Amino acid sequence: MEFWLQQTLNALQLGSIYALIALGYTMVYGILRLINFAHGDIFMVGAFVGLAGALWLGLPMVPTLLFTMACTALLGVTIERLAYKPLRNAPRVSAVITALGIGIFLEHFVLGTVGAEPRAFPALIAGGRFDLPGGLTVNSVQILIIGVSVVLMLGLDWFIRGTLTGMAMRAISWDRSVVPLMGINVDRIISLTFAIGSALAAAGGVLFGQAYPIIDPYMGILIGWKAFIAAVVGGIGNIRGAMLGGYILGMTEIYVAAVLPSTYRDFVAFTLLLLLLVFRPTGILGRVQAQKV
Amino acid sequence: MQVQTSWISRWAVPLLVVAGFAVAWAIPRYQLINPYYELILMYVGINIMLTVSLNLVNGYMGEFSVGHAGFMAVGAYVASVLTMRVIPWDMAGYLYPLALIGGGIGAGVVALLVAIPSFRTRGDYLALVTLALNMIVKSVIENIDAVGGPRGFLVMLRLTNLPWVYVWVIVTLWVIRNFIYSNAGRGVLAIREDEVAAELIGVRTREVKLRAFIISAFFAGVAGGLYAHLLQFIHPRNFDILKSTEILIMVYLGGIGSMMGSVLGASIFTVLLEALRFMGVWRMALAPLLLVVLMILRPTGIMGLKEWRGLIPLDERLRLWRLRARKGGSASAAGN
Amino acid sequence: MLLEIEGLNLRFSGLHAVRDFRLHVPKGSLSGIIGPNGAGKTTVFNLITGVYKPDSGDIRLEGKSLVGLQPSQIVARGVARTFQNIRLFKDLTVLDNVRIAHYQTAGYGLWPAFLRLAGVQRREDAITEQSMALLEVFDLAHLALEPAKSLPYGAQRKLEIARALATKPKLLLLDEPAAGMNPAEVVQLGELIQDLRKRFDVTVLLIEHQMKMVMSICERLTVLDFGQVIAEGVPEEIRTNQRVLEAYLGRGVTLA
Repeated sequence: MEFWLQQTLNALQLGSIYALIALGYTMVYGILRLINFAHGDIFMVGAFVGLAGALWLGLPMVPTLLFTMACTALLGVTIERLAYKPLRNAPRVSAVITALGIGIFLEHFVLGTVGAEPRAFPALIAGGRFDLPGGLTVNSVQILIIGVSVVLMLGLDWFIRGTLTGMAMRAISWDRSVVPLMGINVDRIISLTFAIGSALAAAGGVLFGQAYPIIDPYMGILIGWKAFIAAVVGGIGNIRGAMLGGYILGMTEIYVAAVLPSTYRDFVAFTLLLLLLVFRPTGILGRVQAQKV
Repeated sequence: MQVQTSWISRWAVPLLVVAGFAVAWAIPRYQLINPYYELILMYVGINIMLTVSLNLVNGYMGEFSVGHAGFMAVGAYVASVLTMRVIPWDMAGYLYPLALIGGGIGAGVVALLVAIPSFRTRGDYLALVTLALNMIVKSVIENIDAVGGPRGFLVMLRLTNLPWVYVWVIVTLWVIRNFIYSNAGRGVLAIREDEVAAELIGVRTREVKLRAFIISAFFAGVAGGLYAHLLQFIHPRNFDILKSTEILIMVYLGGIGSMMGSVLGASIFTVLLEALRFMGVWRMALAPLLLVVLMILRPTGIMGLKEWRGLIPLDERLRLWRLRARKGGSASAAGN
Repeated sequence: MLLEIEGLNLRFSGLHAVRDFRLHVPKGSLSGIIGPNGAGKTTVFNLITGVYKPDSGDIRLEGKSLVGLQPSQIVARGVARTFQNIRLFKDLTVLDNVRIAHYQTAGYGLWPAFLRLAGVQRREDAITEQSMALLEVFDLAHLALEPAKSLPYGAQRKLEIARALATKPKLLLLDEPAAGMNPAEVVQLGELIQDLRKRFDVTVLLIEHQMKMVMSICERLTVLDFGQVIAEGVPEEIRTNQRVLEAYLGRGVTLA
């Protein structure tokens, strides 16, 4: 029991990072119906920007986080403006392929700039272990990751549900064609979506650097795809679904690795995904689209 | 009906195919070109097979499969196990085509795992199924110790050569072309255009999807086998999502729903990446930027649903040609 | 009887879309289903063609039940349809739209197709000829190689009918074939439908809002309101039926 609770804590840590990245996928998908395959690499860039902030500028934890989120948000918006916006009326798949291209570009741009060897991410908070009732221990990194993620997600949830801009976002994801009629500036909302999604992924990158302090330019690929899977598991386009999906994926992976050799981790996670999609194709919280004839 | 087609339009393509084989055979035989260029030509051929086969599902059928390298992996490992472990060594050279076909069949069987969910799911969710399948295949291979697991698998026989690649490219183009321009192939197009309407005018959409996915996977599997016996060392990482992404890029670079597009897309992409080799890692930063620029300027790729006439079966070409002639001649008869 | 429907029910989460629906369509007849918007007419077509599975009831074609079959199997049994909002294969040619409908009657398998044997080529010749002959009937032959989306609206409606007929149906279901047509086109269409019935020996069941056409060409009418049959009979009876008038007049529609 204690073992499993401890594993749950690890799962929450991993799940938080998946959830932060999954949110960007789901928000962009909700609004543009675009699978932004570059998003995993945005997460990677976030980790490297955080590294730069911490190492070169010598920033402490919170400023590093804010600096990284701001820079990466800017990157996300720039990519959207330069690469995706011209394709808004093109076949949907052209934008997806462009996103794949942008992802490969980011990987190799970083690779060319910082080199291929993995970099160590400095610890930005004091290490420490705290005993919890029931014999559990939690370390400061876990508190940081889970805490920051929950704060960011609650903030996002409030923003989406409680503000006019958030309402406009939801309106666009519901039906983009009518929204301009209501006087909403769609371009601005789309840019904002990319900014928020990228900032969250960047936060995920910095937090990842704290938990698993070796980063390299290809780290975004697998984690990005997995976060995308998390978004789909939750029901893509659904903000709360993405959070849920992130934690479900984190738990699946940690629990599987706890009982089986770790090489089976991906296999089990993806098989579960496959089964879920076969039996519930719209994810857990996804909307079922009625077939219209 | 009188058909006035010139000798050239009737025989040009078969002649081109035969001449091509002669060149492909002569190059290694008489060392006509630098072995490095020969190697690139073989990669071009393998990539054409991968691109055309993926185009069948993504371009002609309108699905979005993102895990083509998974099928390639199955083909590569099955074919390699066959030549290394099953077929006696002294026979391997002769039975090589059978090993490749075995790899293709293996990939075709795995394709069922994608085809069956596709009965209920489409679009982005099916994309995810293919992605998951790619990851599962890679993960399974990593856990099979008999083929080296994560350490990779040494394929000691370099059975792939330029004539073989050429023959398989032609077979791929020929079979997929014949499929697309057949009754079943029209069903594939109908699914892309409107799956519900297709089913409701009698297209057995499940059957069509099953066939398209299996054919697509089969040729990806054969390409994987050729790849393995060229590289002589295969590794699960050779067949990860990045490889699938490359194939996707070649498909959309060339243009969906066009075999000529796929031939061009695969050739240009492969050659370009080699030509940019002097740039080191920066070539992989430049190449995707070129792709992005192309997508913005020409979102449907180079060919985009257009086909080179030579890749349309002759009888169909003549049929359409006759209709066009008739239309000109009998405008008055169409009045009633 | 060609088509017999008994006690058909379908609920969509609370909405009782079709309630105890019954319908008998004699072989060779030309019948119509009318009713206000949202009465469940298209839903009945969707049930017949297998898009939806009924909660209860039976649909029989020539005595054999269609319930539980895939839509394409129902087409094979001899039911073809058109769609209320045109669903052509827009980017394909007019000819291919019709050729696709030969899917089940093409008469050659996958392996001969791979090798493109002479038999395949002959069958393709025949399919193309049959499709062209059908397009001639609809005065669309000269447009055979144009993409379907380039056709004017009325021609697209006709192409949908041609495509449905290419499956060689016994029963042809037309879902608002005259929608969006001008009065002259509607008259032409009425004549065309009557002509088709004889020429292709097909039984026609149609849904229509153009009362003038329905009243003039249909032999029998069934009136639906809120998923229920409220009247049945020959056009003269329907024209004077009190319940029908109420159902329509309540919505401000007068019967011509």
